[in-house]
Amino acid sequence: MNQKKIEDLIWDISSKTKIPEPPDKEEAWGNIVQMMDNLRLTKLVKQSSFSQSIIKLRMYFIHKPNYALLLSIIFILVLPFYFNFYQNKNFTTKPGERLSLLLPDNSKVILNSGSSITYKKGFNANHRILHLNGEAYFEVQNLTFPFIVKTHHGEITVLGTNFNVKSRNDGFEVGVNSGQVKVSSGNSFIKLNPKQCLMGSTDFDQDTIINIENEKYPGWINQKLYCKQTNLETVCREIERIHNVKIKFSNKKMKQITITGTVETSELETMLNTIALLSQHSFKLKDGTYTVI
Amino acid sequence: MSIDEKTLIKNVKNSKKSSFQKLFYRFHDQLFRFVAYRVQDADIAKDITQETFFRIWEKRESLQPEKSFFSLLARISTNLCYDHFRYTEVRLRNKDRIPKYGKSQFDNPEEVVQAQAIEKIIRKLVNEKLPQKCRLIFILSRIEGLSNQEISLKLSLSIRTVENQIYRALKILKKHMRKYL
Repeated sequence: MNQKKIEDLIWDISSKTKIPEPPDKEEAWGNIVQMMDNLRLTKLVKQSSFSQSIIKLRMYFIHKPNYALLLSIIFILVLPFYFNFYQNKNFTTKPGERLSLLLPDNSKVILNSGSSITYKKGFNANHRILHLNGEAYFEVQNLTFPFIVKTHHGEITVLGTNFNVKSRNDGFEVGVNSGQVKVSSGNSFIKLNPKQCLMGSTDFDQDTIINIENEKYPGWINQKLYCKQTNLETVCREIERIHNVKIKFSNKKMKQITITGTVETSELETMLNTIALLSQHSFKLKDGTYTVI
Repeated sequence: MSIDEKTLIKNVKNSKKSSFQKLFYRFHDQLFRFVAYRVQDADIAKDITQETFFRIWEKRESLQPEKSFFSLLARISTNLCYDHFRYTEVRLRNKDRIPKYGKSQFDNPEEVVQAQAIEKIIRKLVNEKLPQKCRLIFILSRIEGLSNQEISLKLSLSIRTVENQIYRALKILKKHMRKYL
């Protein structure tokens, strides 16, 4: 039998294959809906450990008739845990201050000036959520439960990694030195890898990620301020925070001047000199306040 | 792939049940036939079809609206078919022989039997010898009777790709058919 005949045969016969009739769609859909509902129920039960304890409690009730005693014992036992767990612990730094903390899960936090961190007393390896206002550098222990930093701009979720978060009025920035973090706000989120830094807070998309070029990020930990087309207003705010001084601008337009360069932040005088050089403007001190002229 | 399909998938991703129902009604029969061709049993095909849709709902968060929905259905159901095959080991023996093939068309009982035997073998070859994408396209073409244009739309592929895959399917099937004829 030649090639063509075989091909015709295949072509012809395969199209005549008899296939059984599809089952009734209504019935099939009904089955699927049941499966979907079961799925939802099992998920709910798993998620809610509270309901699991209710179920356990209910089972206990069925066998032990003394409800009142049981309930009050449980209540009394649970009460101190409740208080312990839900009360807040707070750390704040003033301008010019810095604070290093060790969290109950052995993660390390370095708080920059003018910042605050709040977490529940029950913070531990299984529950690692804290609130940040300002800027802090984190060295997170790699544990099973995610470490979550909540800020006004969004949430940062990590497993174990070293990263910096800045959540201030004039900007939002998240930069990763090692590990991986997920930054989320509402329904959108983005993942950052080492040497990546997210700038800005409106849309989380690829455009707002820049690569960290400096070897020692973030600058503030190493007493440096890395400026890349950073506007003068932002720089001066940072000076105010680091050295607890007040800086004014003699002319509003000066606020938008941008400077690029690395500034040593340890000494106020040095810092002001460098910035004066980079911006071609100088600082005049009068009555404890600096003015940019 | 129509724009409508993309929107429905997006909605399902956001757990919208009504959109999932629409997709279910739209694709159920075609998926059933695709699976039935492979497993040759209506009940099993029904189960696999159902399970396929259910798995899509289970993992709806990872749905990609840009990709062809039918391709996804085909992929999941193929995996389920494999599981089924492993379980039942339904295999035709190689020694099956086809009664002598005459030149006339299929108008007498003997040739109908011939045709059935050939058809069985073609189906086995399709199941066992064709690569996944190739098989999917071949089945949509021959069993569903879709045109190349329709297949290319359904699976978000170029018509060239569809044509190549059909050509490839025939080549492979021809090669193996020769053993039996």
